[in-house]
Amino acid sequence: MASPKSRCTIVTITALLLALVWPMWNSALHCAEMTFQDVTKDVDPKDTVLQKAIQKVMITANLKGFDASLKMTGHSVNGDTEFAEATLFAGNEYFFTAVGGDNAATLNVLVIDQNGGVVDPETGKILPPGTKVPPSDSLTIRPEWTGSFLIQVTMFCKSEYEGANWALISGYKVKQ
Amino acid sequence: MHRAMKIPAAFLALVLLLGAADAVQAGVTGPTRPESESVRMLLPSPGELFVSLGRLGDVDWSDAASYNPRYDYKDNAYRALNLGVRSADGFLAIQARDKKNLGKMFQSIVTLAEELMVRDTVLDQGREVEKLAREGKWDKVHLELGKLRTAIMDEMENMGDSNVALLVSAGGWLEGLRATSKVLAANYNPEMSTILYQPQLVNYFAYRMIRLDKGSRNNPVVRNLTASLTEIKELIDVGYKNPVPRENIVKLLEISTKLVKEIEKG
Repeated sequence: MASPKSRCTIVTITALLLALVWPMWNSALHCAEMTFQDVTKDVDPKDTVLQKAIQKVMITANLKGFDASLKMTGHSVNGDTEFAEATLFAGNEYFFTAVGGDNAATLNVLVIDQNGGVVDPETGKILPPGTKVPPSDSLTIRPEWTGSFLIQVTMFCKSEYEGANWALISGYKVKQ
Repeated sequence: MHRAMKIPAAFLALVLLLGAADAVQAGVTGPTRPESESVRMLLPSPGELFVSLGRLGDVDWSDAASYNPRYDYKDNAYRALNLGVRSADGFLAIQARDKKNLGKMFQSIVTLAEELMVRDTVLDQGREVEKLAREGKWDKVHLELGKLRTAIMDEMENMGDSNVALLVSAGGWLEGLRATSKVLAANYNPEMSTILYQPQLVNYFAYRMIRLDKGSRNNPVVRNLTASLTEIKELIDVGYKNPVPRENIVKLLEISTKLVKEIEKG
């Protein structure tokens, strides 16, 4: 059986090895997690509520000078949150609006910058990480810095037992 | 516990703790996304990049553009990449208020899209572009070109040709990178250089390009573009809010110019 001294040496060597290997392992783990999922843009032809809502947002955005497009669609149950990432360019004015179809009561859109800063839907300003902001289905932002932003869409349905379709529309203002 | 073993154990705990902290910091986004969630990437339009670059002030947009009017290419990979490049150049022509080159780019976009089997009804949406340009309604022209580009990409997705749609995006992104690098190399501005900080987009293209169908993946220019993404990422991944050094921009210009020339050559 090993003496306490040699056991101590083994533990020290193990710790040193772990110290060397851990960052690489972490990095590999992070790369392995870097997978991309297809974005769906299918709108259920029977869901006229959703179709009309999309059309309304697009027309309004166009009139306001935004190059707007349907970015993503989905079907979620009550309380579900969907995520997407977008690179937003500094100085541009962007909007993000989520609309729901039949059975969707409300939707909440949250935009978070690379440092975890949360976009205030009322002012468009980036607030410190963890700050609670009022729920909103739409917001505008003019990022000071180019970077990757996380967009979160949370669904609240009229009926807890049925899901609802939703769509995320976004655009940038052509004339800044 | 034996006293001699307490120190290594504490060290081990510290290492684990630091490792865990590093893992949290390595996350690209905020705290709420589940770790295992794969990313849905919303791709930007080249027009979006150029509007941001416009803050630089006096930019020689025409000098930044490639404006190659060619549209006869042998396969869909070249057609799609060139369609992306032409649409980026269309946005540059709009920034430059250049009706003549916008017309050329528009014709090229429509012909390439037709070759890629995009329906006439989709392409008809863009017929207003030239008329609006003649009337000098440039903001509306920008909106119309944006709508046309989106409609073409959506049509390709609807036809189940996501490979082609990806290559259109990649071509547009690459021409955007080339034009932006050209402008910034000539008028270096540390703050403006941060618009090149797009590592997550490079990650996305790298991930998708190696998963293209075999035919597209084996296209020489697709292979070269995929191989260049690692170097491009190293040059732009300078950290959030940090300027991209001028020497990196010069190198980016060199890489992207070579690739765009290969795409245009066919």
